[in-house]
Amino acid sequence: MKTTTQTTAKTRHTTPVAAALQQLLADSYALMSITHHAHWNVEGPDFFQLHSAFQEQYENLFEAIDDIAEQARIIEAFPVGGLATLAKQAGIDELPVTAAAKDFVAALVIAHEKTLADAITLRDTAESARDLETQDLAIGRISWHGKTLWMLKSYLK
Amino acid sequence: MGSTPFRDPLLAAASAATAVSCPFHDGPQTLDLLLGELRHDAPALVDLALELRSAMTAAADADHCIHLLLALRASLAGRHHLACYRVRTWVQRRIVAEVRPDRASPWVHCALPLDCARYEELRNRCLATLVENDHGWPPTAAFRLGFATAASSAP
Repeated sequence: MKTTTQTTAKTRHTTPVAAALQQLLADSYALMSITHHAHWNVEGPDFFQLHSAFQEQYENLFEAIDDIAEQARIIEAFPVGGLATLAKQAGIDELPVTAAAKDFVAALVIAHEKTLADAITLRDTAESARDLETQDLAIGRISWHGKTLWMLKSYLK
Repeated sequence: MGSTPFRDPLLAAASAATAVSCPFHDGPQTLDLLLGELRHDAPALVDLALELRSAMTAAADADHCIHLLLALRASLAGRHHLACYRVRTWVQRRIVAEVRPDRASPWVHCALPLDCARYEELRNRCLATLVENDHGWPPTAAFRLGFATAASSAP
């Protein structure tokens, strides 16, 4: 009978697709966290619309990180979680406690761009590995980040 | 972005991709993006942005860089906010502000407040981090700017 340790050692894969999923997971988690922070701390005449918009965005990200992590399990990789670990891996800067509303939006644009880049890498990596399901997930994230970026950038014009 | 090596091969593989500087808010390409937006704007603005790019690339005089950035931001008057924000973020990563209450004390990092309008305001906000019990900062307090090194990256 296989022990848990043996099963883990045999089924755990560190493939390019798994690595790309892990990076997308880390940056999505960081983006969700700073979006939540902006939701709490934004001020100014556009408070209500930004407060609501940021809530929609972090709620989408909350569901997405679960899908990303579970996709890793589907391809027999083990996604690594935990706040400290994901924070070390993420390439997204945290926000100051207070900032002008436009600065919060600009910071989120940059964070979305980084996460979008991760999703594109995942899409291309999955395509090379002929992993259509992971590619499909990546394409979904690309669409969402692209749309969110359009809206955030429009606010700054 | 963390630099601690990961034992987990999955994390190490994924983490390698973040070792390069992020093009969205780091490096002279942030000024190139701004210059691209300014190409139909006043020549004086373009000159100012070019001068800032040269000064940041040379990394010789941090005070001069900050003066240029604040002048550029004032001249833009809120226009090209996103492009300007990317430049500010790069500058915040490259330039370090330090204060000390007196010559006998060590220099201490403080946040670089680039939402200031003037250099004096920036200097005063940095010195204000030394204030205790509403007595103001000591008259012997000092402030300096420098470029971040591997050992003294911006907080």
